[in-house]
Amino acid sequence: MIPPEPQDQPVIELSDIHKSFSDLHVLKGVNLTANKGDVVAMIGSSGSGKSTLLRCVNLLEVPEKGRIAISGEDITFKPKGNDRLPSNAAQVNRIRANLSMVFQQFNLWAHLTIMDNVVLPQRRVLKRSKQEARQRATDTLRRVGIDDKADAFPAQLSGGQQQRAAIARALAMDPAALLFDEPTSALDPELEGEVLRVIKSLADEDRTMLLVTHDMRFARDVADKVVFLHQGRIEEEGTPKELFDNPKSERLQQFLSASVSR
Amino acid sequence: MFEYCPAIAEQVKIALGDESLSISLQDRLQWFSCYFTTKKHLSIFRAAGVVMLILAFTVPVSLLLGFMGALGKASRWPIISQICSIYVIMVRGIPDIIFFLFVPLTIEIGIEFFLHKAIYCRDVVEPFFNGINLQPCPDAAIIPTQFNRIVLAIVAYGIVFGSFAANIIDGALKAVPFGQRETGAAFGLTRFQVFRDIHMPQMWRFALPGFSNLWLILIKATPLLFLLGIQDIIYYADLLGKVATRRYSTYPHGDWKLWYFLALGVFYLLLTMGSQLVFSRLERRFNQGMSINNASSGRV
Ligand SMILES: Nc1ncnc2c1ncn2[C@@H]1O[C@H](COP(=O)(O)OP(=O)(O)OP(=O)(O)O)[C@@H](O)[C@H]1O
Ligand SMILES: [Mg+2]
Repeated sequence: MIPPEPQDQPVIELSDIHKSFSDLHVLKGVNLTANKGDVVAMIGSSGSGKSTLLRCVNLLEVPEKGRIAISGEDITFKPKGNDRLPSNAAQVNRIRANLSMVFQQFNLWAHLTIMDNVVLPQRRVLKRSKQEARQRATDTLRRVGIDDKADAFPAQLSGGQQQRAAIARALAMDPAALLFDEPTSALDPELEGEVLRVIKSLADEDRTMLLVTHDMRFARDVADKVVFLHQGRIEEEGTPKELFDNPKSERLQQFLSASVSR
Repeated sequence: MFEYCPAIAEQVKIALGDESLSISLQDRLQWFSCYFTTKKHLSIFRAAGVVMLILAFTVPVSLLLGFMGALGKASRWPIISQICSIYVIMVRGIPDIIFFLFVPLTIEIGIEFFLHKAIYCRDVVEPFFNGINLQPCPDAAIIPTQFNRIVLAIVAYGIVFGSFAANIIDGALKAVPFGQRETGAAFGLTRFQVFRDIHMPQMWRFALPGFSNLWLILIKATPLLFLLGIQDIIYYADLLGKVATRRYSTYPHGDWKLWYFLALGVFYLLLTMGSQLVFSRLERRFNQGMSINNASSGRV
């Protein structure tokens, strides 16, 4: 048997993920696959575990049960008390470098200029030369339309500009997949558009993306696959057309009518 | 010091004895230049130098101990984290003057005990503690030279102010928004890289106001050096300011304590004002790009 080419491996593969915070069982056996070039949108009501699931992918949260494989590489765990931890810190860092995250609160490093924000992880994690990292940073900043802000500090930028800088920082790592956690929900409505346009243009490039969003119209617009999370389980998944035009479960119907009327 | 000094001293003595003789400005200047360079007087300048020296060495020692205490508190090993927790918390509850007396004494006894037991006095039969007194054998007793006293002072101040500094650093490290560090981890930076490139640089702006305060407290604590047997500037100011009569001094003068203490006040004021300037520059540097009411510094 010929082993499958690396490209044929799913970029993100989660199976039977369980995660609890002390007594609170947040994720109750989630399976999720994102193949190369897939844009997967996660929707669900507040507290359903969307952020937690996204943070399990790059191990900011460690699920107590379940398998995580990134581009075919399985994360290894070791038991710790009643819990478990990744057994190989180098593996975790390698996988994190390959999955860049964009946070709801942007989380640009406040003490560094925009340029240095984009350069730092390239230098430290990918060990790129200073010149190469700056070149790549200039490219990605131009890509998101804020190359003129390279020498400004994050606090001097608008929320929309900050989030675009955060996207440039993520892009500069040339990751296998991008993880977005409600990238526009901390923004004023008039600033949402500029960030959504950037994300849309990335989706059109066939990048692999996992995106948590509360914006149903945007999810329909960019996603290849939509996943509806409800109380720690995937209640329904399918193409945007299937889910939005023809929701099967009662919960999704309720959720969609609630978000339309919002 | 100056070759005209003996002559001036003679002249002034005569002038003080005879009301009718007045002293010219030039003579006065010459008199002061002689007065300020007597052997006795040079010791007050030396004492000022000793104060500065002790300050200069105490700062790095206490910063080092402060970092060790604050970082050790978060250690994975319970023994280290407990010792460091006690170190961080001790200054909060105990008056510092107790430390200035307690720490040097403990260090002194500790060293003497060690020398007594381990190195010099293995054949000595008398015990170190005879029920009444601590008595190291003669070879193990620390001779209180000026040098030993200064070293002891630096160690004692370093430990006490290191505890203050640990407190400040501990708080400042905790004040850095968690999201800033977590983002570093999310990009694959190692724990050490997150600490060096994100946590540390962002910690300073929270620590600086505390350090600036601590530095002032340290400067103002230097008069306590006399507790450690160091004759400091205040001791000499008191000594030199006293009435100097013809009988006891080559350069007689009245009660000048007021002037001496005024000069000391100015000395300390210049020291503190100068350092405030440095601190405000540092604060500007570490607050660069930071806006207090901006959410980008982390989670809200
Ligand atoms: N670190 C934590 N400690 C304890 N409980 C947590 C923690 N993180 C999340 N939770 C809980 O887990 C549940 C799921 O949280 P999560 O943030 O994943 O929801 P979400 O679907 O992203 O919601 P939202 O749409 O509001 O962002 C919530 O009840 C939350 O309170
Ligand atoms: Mg969330």
